[in-house]
Amino acid sequence: MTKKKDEKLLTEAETELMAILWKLGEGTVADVIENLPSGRDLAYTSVSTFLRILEQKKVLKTRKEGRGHIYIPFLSKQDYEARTLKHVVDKVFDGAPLSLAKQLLNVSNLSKDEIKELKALLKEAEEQA
Amino acid sequence: MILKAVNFYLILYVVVLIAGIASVLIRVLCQKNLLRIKCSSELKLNYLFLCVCLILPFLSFSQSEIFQFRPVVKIESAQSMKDFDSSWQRGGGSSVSLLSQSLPTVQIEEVFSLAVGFVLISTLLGLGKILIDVTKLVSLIGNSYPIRKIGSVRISASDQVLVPFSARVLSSWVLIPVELISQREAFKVSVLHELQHHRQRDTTFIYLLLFVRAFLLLNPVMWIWSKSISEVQEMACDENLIVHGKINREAYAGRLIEIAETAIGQEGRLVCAAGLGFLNDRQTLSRRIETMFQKEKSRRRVTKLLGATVLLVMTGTAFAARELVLDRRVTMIEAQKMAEIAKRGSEFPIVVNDLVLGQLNRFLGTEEGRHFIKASMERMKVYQPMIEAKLVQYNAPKELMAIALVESGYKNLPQSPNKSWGAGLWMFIESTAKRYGMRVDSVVDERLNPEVETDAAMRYLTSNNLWFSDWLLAIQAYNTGENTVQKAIDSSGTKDVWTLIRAGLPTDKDYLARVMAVVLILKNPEILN
Repeated sequence: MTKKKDEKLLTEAETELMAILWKLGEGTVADVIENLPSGRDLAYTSVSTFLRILEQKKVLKTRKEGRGHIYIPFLSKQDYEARTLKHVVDKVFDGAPLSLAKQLLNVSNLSKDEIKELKALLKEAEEQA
Repeated sequence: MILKAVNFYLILYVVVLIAGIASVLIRVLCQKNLLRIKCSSELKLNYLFLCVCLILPFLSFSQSEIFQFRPVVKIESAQSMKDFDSSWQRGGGSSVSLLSQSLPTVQIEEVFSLAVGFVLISTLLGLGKILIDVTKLVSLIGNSYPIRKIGSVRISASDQVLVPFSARVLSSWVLIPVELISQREAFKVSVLHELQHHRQRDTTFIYLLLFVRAFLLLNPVMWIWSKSISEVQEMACDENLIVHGKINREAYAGRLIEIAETAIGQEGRLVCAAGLGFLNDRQTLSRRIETMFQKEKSRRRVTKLLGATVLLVMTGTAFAARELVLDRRVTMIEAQKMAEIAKRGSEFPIVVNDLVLGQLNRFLGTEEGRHFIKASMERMKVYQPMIEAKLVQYNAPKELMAIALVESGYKNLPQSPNKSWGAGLWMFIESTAKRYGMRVDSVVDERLNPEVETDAAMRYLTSNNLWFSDWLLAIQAYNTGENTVQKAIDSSGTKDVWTLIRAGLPTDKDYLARVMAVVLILKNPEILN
């Protein structure tokens, strides 16, 4: 059997569900459905199928409890943020992180506290390099 | 052997031509609403025709009594006996005619080998393509996420497909795009449609179709037929879903259009798969949707009648076309078989060698030769009782009857102006006739009295046999003269008649071989048909 690529990105629907689980920490299908934004109409079976697929993708782990399964994120939010960002840098910014950083500053209005925090991070990175 | 393969291929080609044209015709008539039959019945007809196509070539070989088309390609030793003689001196050859038009001499074996090679290569290429697609399918399936199993069919979600499709790779699979999971209605419609494909065995028949297509690469009808079958497959699925009330028409039609829009993005279609999203050209799509909203049609009798008619035509043609390429030439193996039969119950020395084979081909491998032999055998019947009685009287082998056939064709001909030619059935020349006590003068020519001449021939031949103790030498001496033969034996030191002939025994080099060939034919009369 062929290997399943683990550097793949999640689809929109999958990211939506993962966001809920990252927030909750862990949960059943019912938990996830409860936390869906109002108006988002997903059937129980759909969510259940999605979660099972995510488990096969090794993005989620499961633990049996009673009759149901509890889904726990295997892929942490931070790891996924990093993966997504790397993908964006590679594909959109031609592998130049600085271009992304420039754009980031352009599009976001950082507060004074946020800029302070950013400066601290840069200093840390400078010392490590 | 190759000839059988060529004929087998031609039968298949012709039968597929008929089946394909019939099927496409039915499809066109249905499209134009001139014919109303259920799509599921139409599909079954198509599959039936396909299967029958493959069986017929095997069946038709076993037939021999039924009417047969004239051969399209005839391979003979030569166009006439005279042509044969002249080409025989140059080492022999063969003549090929296509629909009665003579073709320039080609090396038939090479042409056939080329043709067989071509078919093999095209089939291998076709199989290769199937293999590649199956590998891609396996890869897609491997990278997908199984969600459910319905009966023996596995439903699996994939990031790599944009539209759902079904395929059979060992197990039956339905692959759907992951996004479809969140759309309940569309998901249900798609899965039901794909399951129907499996139920109709479309995913299995597709392999058969592809194989036949690869094998019959040169057949233009195959390609049109494949396309037609794809259309019928989809329409049969549509029909089943709607007719059995599984899905609402409007929802289904809507779904088809949605998929068509999405499918524009899907790269390259795999041949081994069938699916909801295929056949997305405008005409087919609009046809499918229109058909869905039509009233039900069910005419079982029409379908059966259609099917029976086409099958009948196919079968009749298959049997009639069983030998489109005919090879009249005799091979050494066939000649040896004839010799085996000829030897039974006889002490006469039957010999088969290249010289005899050549003469066999002269008689059996030309239209003229076959005609000559048949006519001579007819004429022989008149004299047969008398000659057989003489043979018994002189204790001579029955095979000697062949001599008269070679000499005169059993025509009791009078003396021609050329005195070196003989007369009568046994073609005695004047001097020899007188030596054997026959009266030859202006009043009476006893050579033309069959009984008298036969008696003389018996005495001549048996006397030769006493001299040489070898019937073959005796026969050769009948033609060449006993002194010439004796001289040849003395100078060469051998009594093997064939060695002497090859060394250049004078006059007719082919004479003995010709007599031997006639002996073989007389003992194997079926070969003339």
